[in-house]
Amino acid sequence: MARPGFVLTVDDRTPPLLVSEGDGVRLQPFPKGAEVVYPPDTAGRRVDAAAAVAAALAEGLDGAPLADRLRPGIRLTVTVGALETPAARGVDVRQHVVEQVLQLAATAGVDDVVVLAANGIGPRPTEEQLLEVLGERVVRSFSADGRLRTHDALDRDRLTEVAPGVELDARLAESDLVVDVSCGTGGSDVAADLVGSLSSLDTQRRLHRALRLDRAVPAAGAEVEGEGAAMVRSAVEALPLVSVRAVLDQVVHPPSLEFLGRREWEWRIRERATWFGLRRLLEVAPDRARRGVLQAAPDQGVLAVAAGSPAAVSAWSAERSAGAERVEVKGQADVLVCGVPHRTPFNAGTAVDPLVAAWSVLGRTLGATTGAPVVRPGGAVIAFHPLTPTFSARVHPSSADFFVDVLSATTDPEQMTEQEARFAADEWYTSLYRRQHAWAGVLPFQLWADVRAGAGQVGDVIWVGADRAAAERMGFRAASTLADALEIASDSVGRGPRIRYLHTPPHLVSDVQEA
Amino acid sequence: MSAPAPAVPLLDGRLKDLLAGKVVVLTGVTGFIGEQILWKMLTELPDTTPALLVRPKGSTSARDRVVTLLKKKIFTEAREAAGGAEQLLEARIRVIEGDLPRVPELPADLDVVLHCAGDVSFDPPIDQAFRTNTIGTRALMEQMLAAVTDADGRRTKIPHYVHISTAYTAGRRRGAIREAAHEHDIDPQAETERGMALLELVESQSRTAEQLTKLRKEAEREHRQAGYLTTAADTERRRKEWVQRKLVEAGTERARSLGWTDVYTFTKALGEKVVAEVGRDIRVSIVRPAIVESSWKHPFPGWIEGFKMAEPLILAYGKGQLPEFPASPDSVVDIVPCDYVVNAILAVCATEPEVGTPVYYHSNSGARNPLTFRDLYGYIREYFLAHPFEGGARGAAALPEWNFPGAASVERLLFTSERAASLADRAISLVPRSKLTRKMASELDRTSKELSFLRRYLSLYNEYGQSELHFVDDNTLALHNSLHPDDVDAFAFDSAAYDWRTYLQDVHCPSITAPVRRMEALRRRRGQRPTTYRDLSRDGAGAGEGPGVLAAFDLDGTVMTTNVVETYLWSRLPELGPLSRAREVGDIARRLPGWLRAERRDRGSFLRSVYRRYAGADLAALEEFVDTAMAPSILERVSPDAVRRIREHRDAGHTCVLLTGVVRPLTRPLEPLFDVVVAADLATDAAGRCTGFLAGPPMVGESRSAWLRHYAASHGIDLQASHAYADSHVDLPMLSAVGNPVAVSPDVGLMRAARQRQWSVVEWRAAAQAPRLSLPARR
Repeated sequence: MARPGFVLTVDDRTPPLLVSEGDGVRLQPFPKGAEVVYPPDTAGRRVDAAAAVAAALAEGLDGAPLADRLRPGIRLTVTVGALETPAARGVDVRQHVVEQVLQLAATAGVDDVVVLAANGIGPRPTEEQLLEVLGERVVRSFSADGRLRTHDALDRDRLTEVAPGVELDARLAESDLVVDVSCGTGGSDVAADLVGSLSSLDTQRRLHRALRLDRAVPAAGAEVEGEGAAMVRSAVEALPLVSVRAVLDQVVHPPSLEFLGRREWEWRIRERATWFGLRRLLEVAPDRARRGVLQAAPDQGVLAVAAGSPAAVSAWSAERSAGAERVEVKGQADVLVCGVPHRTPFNAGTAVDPLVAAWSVLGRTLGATTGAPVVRPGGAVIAFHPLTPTFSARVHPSSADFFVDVLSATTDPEQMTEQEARFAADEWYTSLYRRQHAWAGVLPFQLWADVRAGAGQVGDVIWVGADRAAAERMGFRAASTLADALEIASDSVGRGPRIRYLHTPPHLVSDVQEA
Repeated sequence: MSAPAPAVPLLDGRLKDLLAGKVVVLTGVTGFIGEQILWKMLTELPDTTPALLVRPKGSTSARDRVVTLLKKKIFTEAREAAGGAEQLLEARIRVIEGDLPRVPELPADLDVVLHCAGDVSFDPPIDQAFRTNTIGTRALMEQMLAAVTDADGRRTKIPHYVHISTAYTAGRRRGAIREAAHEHDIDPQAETERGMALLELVESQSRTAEQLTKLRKEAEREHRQAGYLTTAADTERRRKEWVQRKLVEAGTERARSLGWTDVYTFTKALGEKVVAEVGRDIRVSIVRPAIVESSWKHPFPGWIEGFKMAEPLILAYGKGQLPEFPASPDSVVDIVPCDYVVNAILAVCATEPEVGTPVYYHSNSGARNPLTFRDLYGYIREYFLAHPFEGGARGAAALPEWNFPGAASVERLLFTSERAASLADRAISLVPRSKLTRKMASELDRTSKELSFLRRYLSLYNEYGQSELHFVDDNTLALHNSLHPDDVDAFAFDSAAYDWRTYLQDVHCPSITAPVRRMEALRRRRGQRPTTYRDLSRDGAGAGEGPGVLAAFDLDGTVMTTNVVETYLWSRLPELGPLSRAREVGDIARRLPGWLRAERRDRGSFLRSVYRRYAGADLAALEEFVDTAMAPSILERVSPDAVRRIREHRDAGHTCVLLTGVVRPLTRPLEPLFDVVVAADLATDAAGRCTGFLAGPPMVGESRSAWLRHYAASHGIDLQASHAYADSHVDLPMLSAVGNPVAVSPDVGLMRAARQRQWSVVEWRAAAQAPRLSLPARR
């Protein structure tokens, strides 16, 4: 088990605390009495990935080894997902899984094998990324004869309807066995993940709420039990599927900056010096260089690996992640303060743009609870991000257009359906998605739907240090300091509100108990 | 009057009676003074017939011009009384179509010829000044004499010729100027011939090889990149300007060499001499107004047409653009209201001077109601303090305080500022383009514009500001005093009758600032944005009907922030080892200054020398590399604004064209955005390797406009309704080829051209999120 998370109450001795603001970090003093929620610390509990994979494949959660299901002549498909998780330093755990599965298949005499890397509506993986995730051996031996493919949510020739309203990559329907390989820190639903990464664009648009953009968070509450979720489950149950999942530890910073994920009073002298240098560097460095420093690859390790039926693996990973992410807090706060992590599922290699930042706070952090929201209905959310409206023309081609053309007209997702359909069918976005490793054109709409759903639960959303025009366009407010933000919030939450700061990253899930 | 009777003919009755039944030939009716003379005749002199000598203008006949004139506001009453402009013309006016100096035959029944046509400018080219003021005057008078001479050469009547001159024909004399002929022994005829000959001479000089070479080089410095035709057109424009400038200089210098301030007053003075000479056996009067400004009373207080002498200065002062003026504070500004001049002229027309003795009249205020420069400044300043111009976003302008430090000091200040501006201009042409450069350049342009305005007006008015002339107006006063008491109200012209504070602050300034204020209000309402950047949202509906529309886009700097050297490095470096990489970069760095020089000279040869380096590259491999590895770097640098605009055009049904000098493989990632991509094709040998040469000339400068025209003609496209977007001065021909050109984050050259031509300027940003120096990976 991990070192548990805990709640700190700010007093006289509390130093300024680290707050992430996308492509930057700051040390922010908090008012006395504020609660600071620290995530559990998973450091130092790694296992040997290769051995763990071998053990999991040898003994599935349901008892049967994978080898038993491999017979000569079957069609085997290995799907690789969770591509938003950066490849580990050294050998990625997904490479271990794929190599060992392929080894078992070869031993069993299976000839018809396809490896399918899938990222849903996200950027189709580049050759470079495939090499990092799968290793040179797999890429070299499979890509030459077209047995290593990347999923294309818009390729009508390769999609088929496996269940009513759910279109998946046709290869899955044709296979006798599908091994789904994924990894992550959270305990998300394997079925939803699989459909999320391997379905058609239309399916994703239809089931967006059930699939959730944020695969790292276990879907909570009634929503996942809806009609969409039932469709997802029935589609996945129809597949001959074995899931293999690796749970990773919560390291989010590159080794030299790992201390940023730890508690401030535990920083050592050398780390304080590093912080000092980092601050100076971030002050003078241009945006791109800042991103280079913070987004350098973290050294993420494997905590556990399991294989088995989707339902069993989902349950197993949910339980695992509970220990690694869950923190118990008492009651709901009036004001939620949170930062914006430098790494989200959407910004690999690019800036955290205003849409991603808003999603990170209102779609992810706010929703990461086991039940009751961490802030009371009508409470305020104060977030830290500059919201500079620049968007990557390469990775998020539609976001700039969404921000300029759509948000200027309305912030209500209900009124965006026409535009959403237009963006979905847009030739330029389509060509960038299919050929140039960009997100599909509908991404900003999905982000925005989550943002509005989150914002609907709370009152004011105030951004510290933000571009005022951008904040206003998104329907938020901007403040120059935390004190000003609290001043603005005092209209709705009064003087002396109960303030709760979620100290992320690493990610945490609040378990709100009765006060 | 007890003074000895002046030799001036006086009035002995009402003006309308004295001029009843008379035919007055009037020139210059379309001018400021002429218009009011006509108005006065139509309203106050019911039995007088004006015969207007009017020049046809373009396709508008003289008659139509008069009808248009009669539709002006001041003629409303007369027009309504007659039942319309045409009817008024029929009933009261004769129109003689003709021009100075080619004067047509004049009516034989003429009684008075009133010549008030003239140049409005102080510094016309010398030939034009003579043509109007000596040749034109002589021609008019000779036709007048011909009209009153019968077939046997006998005079049928003795006409009265009234000549409108200017008080400043006194030139650089000082002190009191009498109402008499100026004494000088210059022969107008000889001087005129010499002056006219200069036209030929200067024209010839402008066409010498030396001069043309010089002008071409100047034009090339600015336009070389844009191509030969653009340069040629600019060279010819410069030649014409040069001729004009030389003729103006020649006039000014000739005038000064003989003791006049400028060619206008000089030729006017010679004109007076011509009048005296040709009119030696008829009745002749010469009226010399000083500085004619807006009316005191008639047709209404403040009536003025167009801007005269002092207005640009008053307005510039009100806008805070006139920091100092080289005038002597105590020198007299001899302003006279227009209606006083008109009244005096008509009174003069009614007199009967003795044959052979021209009578001179000064129509001015300096003699009995002097206004000093210091007072003028004080009144104007008070006026603007009380009624400032609305200054737009930055509030009203600060009004400069004048200390009258003297001409030399103002000149020094101006010279220093001009020098600084020209140095800054040279510096700004060398710094790389950026938003800041553009901002500095536009500020510099504003300063330069103000400086050249100052320079122009100060050099024009310098002399007047220091004039120590004192015009005596005894004749005019005597004439005024002889007005019939019933005429005094309508025909007064005693310059002592008004006070300057009222005139300037309540009459003149409100009248001349009104149109400026209206314009400013209009501009505020409309916004100042030129509108070649059209809203396309409504274009989609009409697509498919009528001729097609295209939208042409430049690539480098417009759609994408990069340049050919950078893309070359991206495409070549990854395949080289570290050592060769360093060598390649070093080699390019070494050549860069040469290339930059080449680019300033001719972009085509610059592109050729960069593309030469592609020699030996496998074209298919290059394309493959662009598709796999370079596409992210290229797309990273594409401006979202540009993409949005391109897509708006496509949605509107326009044909989108990418016109670029970069090699075709590099445009591959952008192909889905465009209907047509015109790029440089690398020539290959049999093995598919690039030879380093291009398959055709690169698409730069004028070849783009030629391509557009050709494409439009062959695809049924209306270029006038089409759009073009580009970022640099080289693209001027391409932009000029279409009806809706837009400058995108332009360089200084294009920014200036765009402002001059009222094209929209937009900023398209590309926020590349990968470091500029990162290279695409090659495996």
